Amino acid sequence: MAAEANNAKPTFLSPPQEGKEPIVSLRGITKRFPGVIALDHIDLDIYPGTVHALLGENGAGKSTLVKVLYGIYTPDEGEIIINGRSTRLTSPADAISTGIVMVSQSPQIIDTLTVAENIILGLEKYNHFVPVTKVYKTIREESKRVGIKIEPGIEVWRLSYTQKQLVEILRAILLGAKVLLLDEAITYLPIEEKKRFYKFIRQFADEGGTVVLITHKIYEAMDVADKITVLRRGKVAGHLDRKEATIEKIRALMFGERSAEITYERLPTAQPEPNTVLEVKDLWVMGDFGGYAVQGVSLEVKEGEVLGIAGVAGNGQKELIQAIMRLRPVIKGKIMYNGEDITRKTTYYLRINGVGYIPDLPAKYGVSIENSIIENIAVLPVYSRGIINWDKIRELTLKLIKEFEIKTPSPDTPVKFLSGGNIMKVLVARELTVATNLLVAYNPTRALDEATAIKVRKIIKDKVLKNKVSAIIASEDLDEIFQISDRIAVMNSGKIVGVFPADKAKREEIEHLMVM
Amino acid sequence: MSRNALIGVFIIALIIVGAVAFYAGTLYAAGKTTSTATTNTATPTTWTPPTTIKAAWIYVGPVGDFGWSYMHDLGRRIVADLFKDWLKTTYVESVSEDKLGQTIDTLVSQGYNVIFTTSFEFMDGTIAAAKKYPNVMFFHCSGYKRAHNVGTYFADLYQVYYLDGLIAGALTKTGNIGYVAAYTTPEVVRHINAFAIGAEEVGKQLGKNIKVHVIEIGAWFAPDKARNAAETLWKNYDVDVLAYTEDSTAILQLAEQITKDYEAGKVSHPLYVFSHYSPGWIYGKDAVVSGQIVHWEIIYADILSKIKAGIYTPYNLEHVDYWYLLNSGAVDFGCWIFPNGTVMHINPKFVNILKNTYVTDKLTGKKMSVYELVMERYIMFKDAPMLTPLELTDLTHKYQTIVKITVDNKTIFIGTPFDPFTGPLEGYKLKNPSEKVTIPAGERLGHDQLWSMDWFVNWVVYHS
Amino acid sequence: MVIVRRVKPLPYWIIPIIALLAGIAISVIILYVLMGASPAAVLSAIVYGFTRPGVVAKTFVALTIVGIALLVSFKGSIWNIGGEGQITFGLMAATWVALFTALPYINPGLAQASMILLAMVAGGIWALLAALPRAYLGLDEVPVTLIMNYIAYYIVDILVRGPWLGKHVYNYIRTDTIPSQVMFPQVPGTTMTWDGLFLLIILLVGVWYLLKNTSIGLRIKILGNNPNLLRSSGISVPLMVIVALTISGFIAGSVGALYLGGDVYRISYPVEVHTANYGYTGILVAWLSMLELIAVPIAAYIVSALYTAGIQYQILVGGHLGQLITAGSAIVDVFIGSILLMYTILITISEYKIKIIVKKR
Repeated sequence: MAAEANNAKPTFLSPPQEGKEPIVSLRGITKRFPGVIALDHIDLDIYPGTVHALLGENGAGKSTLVKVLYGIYTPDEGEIIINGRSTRLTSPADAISTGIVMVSQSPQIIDTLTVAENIILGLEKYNHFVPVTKVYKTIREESKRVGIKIEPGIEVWRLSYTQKQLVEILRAILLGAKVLLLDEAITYLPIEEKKRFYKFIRQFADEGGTVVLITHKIYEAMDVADKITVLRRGKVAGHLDRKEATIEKIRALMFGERSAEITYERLPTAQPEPNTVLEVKDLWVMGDFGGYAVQGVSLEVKEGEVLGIAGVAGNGQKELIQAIMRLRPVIKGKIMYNGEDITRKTTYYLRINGVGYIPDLPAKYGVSIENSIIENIAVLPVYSRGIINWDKIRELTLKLIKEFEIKTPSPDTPVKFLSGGNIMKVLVARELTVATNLLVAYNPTRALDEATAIKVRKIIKDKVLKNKVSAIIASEDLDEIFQISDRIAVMNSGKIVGVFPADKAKREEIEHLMVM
Repeated sequence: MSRNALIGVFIIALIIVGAVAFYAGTLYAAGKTTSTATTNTATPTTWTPPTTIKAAWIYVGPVGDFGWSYMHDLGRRIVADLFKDWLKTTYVESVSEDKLGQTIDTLVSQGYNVIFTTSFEFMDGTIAAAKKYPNVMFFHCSGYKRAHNVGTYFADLYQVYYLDGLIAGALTKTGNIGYVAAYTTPEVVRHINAFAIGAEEVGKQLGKNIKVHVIEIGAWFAPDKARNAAETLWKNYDVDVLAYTEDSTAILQLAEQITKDYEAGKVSHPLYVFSHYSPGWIYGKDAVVSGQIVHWEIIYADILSKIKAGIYTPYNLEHVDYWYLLNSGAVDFGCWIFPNGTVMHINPKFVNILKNTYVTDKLTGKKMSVYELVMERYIMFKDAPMLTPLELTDLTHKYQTIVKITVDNKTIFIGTPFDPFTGPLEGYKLKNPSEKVTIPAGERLGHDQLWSMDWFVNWVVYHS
Repeated sequence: MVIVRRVKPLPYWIIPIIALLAGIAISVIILYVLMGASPAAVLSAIVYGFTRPGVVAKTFVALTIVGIALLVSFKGSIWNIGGEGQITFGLMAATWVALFTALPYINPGLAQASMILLAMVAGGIWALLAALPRAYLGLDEVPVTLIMNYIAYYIVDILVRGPWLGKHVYNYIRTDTIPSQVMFPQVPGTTMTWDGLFLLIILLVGVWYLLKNTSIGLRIKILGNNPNLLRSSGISVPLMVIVALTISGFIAGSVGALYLGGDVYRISYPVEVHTANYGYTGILVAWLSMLELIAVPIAAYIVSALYTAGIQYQILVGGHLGQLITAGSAIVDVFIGSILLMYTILITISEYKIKIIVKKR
């Protein structure tokens, strides 16, 4: 196996792997959208029996490349060679018939049907005359082989996100997938679940399958891939073999000169003031499917302090954050804000009294992508009550665009035309501006690539220091928690199982508490 | 396109629309001021009838209904051919009340100077439009509001319904007679009563207990509802003879089917029927006994020729009110018109029964067959030419009840010696059945009482 | 053949224009092939319809107002199909003022203003009744508002049959005619009324201001795009649903007053037969406008001009002797149907590209 990295014409130098022919080859794939070249002469070989990671920051062209591979886009130029034959993929059905199946980050399954029904849909070999018991048996066998446990009779809406993704993968396998495209399919899974997935991916590849793992998380690629291809601004920045890859090398390929900005040092800390901004006392909150998701949580946040809440997803952090924001009813307990009991107050009350909120999945809960930047800022009740002073808000928006380096043609551009990082910046900019007292956040940087995520963290921390704002930040990303927090609370099964000053906290201990 | 550009386009569009509207407005307004000036000087002496009369008909329903609108349009096509030298016609169908103004505006802007609006619903709209176009002539069918350029006209069928009633009284075996009513407007109530009076006149003498069962369906054109109502009457009330007011042929087809079943011995009683408005024998040769036929062309020819002659002008129509009965020829008694032009008054199938059923004519005391009685009355109604001028204006309607005048000790009949609406009659008010109505013996109801009739004779049973 | 989502949709304002032209072209062909209608007559009727603003005015005013009303709720993704019921309720309120209060005889101007205002309040209340279950129980507003149209019809029918039955109606089931003092005065040379014209201008400017410069307008727009953002911003989503639908009904209700004061002057039983169906035609107007306020009057003008074209076409061909059934009144339906069809097709084409690819095997 020869090194391929940093070569201008890698395809010429990439020799056949152990005598095998590539299962999928891309030659000179180019795709243009009005005003942009999304893919610029991409050459790529994917070999059977390998896990091949496609890495790149937001907007590098990963998604477009996957869509070309899956027949959603047809390339303007170039050639797709599958099993040595030049092939035109004009629809996902075409791709599936050649053995390429995609699993995306949002599960494409129907909530009201059962797992078995969802899996049968689109499987030609299971027609109306196949007995249900046989289908169930196949599903059980296959899921056992893959190493996951799914009851085929259960309705999909009862499943967690992880389980839904597993159903998708199971379906892909039953579809006869030879090449599995995982488009950020595991990025949003909790760490524990991810590890099970890695095992499965490995096994699938060892049995001769091929996995193309599309991600913006370097460690994901490092954890499981055999080969790594890094995209940057629509071009192949380099091909790496796992054995020679290091985080630094990949970063250099992904971010170019910006890779120097990436650091996981703890950000500077201020001396917390003595007065308490937020205090939660013995809080009990229901989860979505009944049962208490938050069970007697007590905590407090001092002025000018960042409290990080670490935990594996689904341990009550979401419900805790929503209860604090008054978006979820409190069954028992008390929430005090600036010494005032807000347990019975509304979200509106918090929002006009200096509380900023960065929700999980910002594109879904934090902004309205069809509306313009300026409208997304004006919507907050602090800015618009009765008649809107657009001049003032425009001025503020322009200031924020400059201050947070939001890349946009104008403040009137609909948010959907911005890149993921810039959307996040709009949200963070808006919320930091209204957070004169307290910032409440949940996974504030999950959708961002490393460089952007670190930048956003710096901005948040900076603001906290400068304006003596307090913050409570829940995150499933321990790096983030360590980087930004002054104190770390660990949440597990709806309870706080430990609180540590960040400078003295030990990573192993926290990880242990998270999964205990 | 940016928001500002869109706003710009919008403002420009508004300005254009405004300017055009203003221009159009001044055009119309100019026309209006001159005409208003003429009207203010009372009857202008300068009126000359237009060389080409452009007449338009506005129908509430589709001309394909084979009922009300169809017969009006038949009248239109006849006069259009008759007066083709100087008459140009057109029509607009299925015009709803709210579209009337717009339709008239369109017609006037095309130069139409005589407009017939043929539905009661159009009354206020016609008056409003007439105010707007004072030198256009309007004729409204079935209404009572007039103006200097709005006349009214109507061809009434109560005499024909009475004749149908005489036959019904002879044919019924159960004594239960039915009537499917579109609405219970005065017109329909008058027809129900006339039908009931005729049926009772014959039925009582034959020892039958006559009841007329009425179902109101709430629509002028509703084949399904009409059919259901007729079936209910036949099934639930033992009705075997039926008349109706509805603009489709649904009832005729139902009656034909039931009567055929009866003749095949499948059902206990038949359903004989009187066709309404247009000749309907063709739709039920076994069940249709007779019916009512309308000839609107009689009225249209009269109006248009008087306009051409300069007799009707846009300034003298306030008393023009046609109320045409059998004597005018605008209505007829029968259910078919043969290709040679003669009318089938009674379906030959039923003639023998009627000829063999004997009753006494209450006018003369003579014993005669029902057939003879019907024909005698028909000729009497038809043969009253003196009435026609009285039926032409609202000023002369009041003389219509005068039957005879004595000159030199000789009695000269100017009206019909007999009219179904002659006392003694007893009835009840529609709205308040406990309120009784009594017409003293010998009193004959005049135009105004007929026109606003709101009571039923006692043997009419109303099922809502 | 492959259907591919376009990366960049076609400019939205092109669609209604092409739909209009293509729809007219298709109507001409349909009418010619199926009914033998002369294309020249059809086209000349259409030209006539579009060049007579004075004749078109009344329908234009009513449809614009309904279009604006529906736009407000459609912007918030609240699908108000109940314009018809809200208009009927407005009609009822206006009739009450005109017939059962002394106001027309005391102060006609005030009476006309109260007819309109009360009609709006009645329309608003009727919409509010549909909004409450939508906001708090999550009941889909489409069937609810649709059903409430019929409830409104029947309530008015009961009134007209019973307590409101006129005294001078010759046994017709209808109310008395409203006093001439409250028949809205006409703008000379047009079919519209001054009341309608003023109301139209006030509503156009008012709604423009509402959507552009007020927090309510902004929140309605965001409600339509992402209610989650409202929630996380601390704004009550149920409340915004209620506000959007109620404003919509409030505006629609005014058309009831215009219909009474400028069109029919009374209510006739059954009211569902004697309605102009502005509430339903307004949905078409709102869609053709692509939910842009400034395009609503344009869309309304097109639809009302086509109605006039239908009348004009009948006048043109109605005079031919011996011809019983012409395209007649159905021509308007052919126009509207073709345009809607083209519009639907084009909306799809604007977002999806259809490619025909010959496969090499």
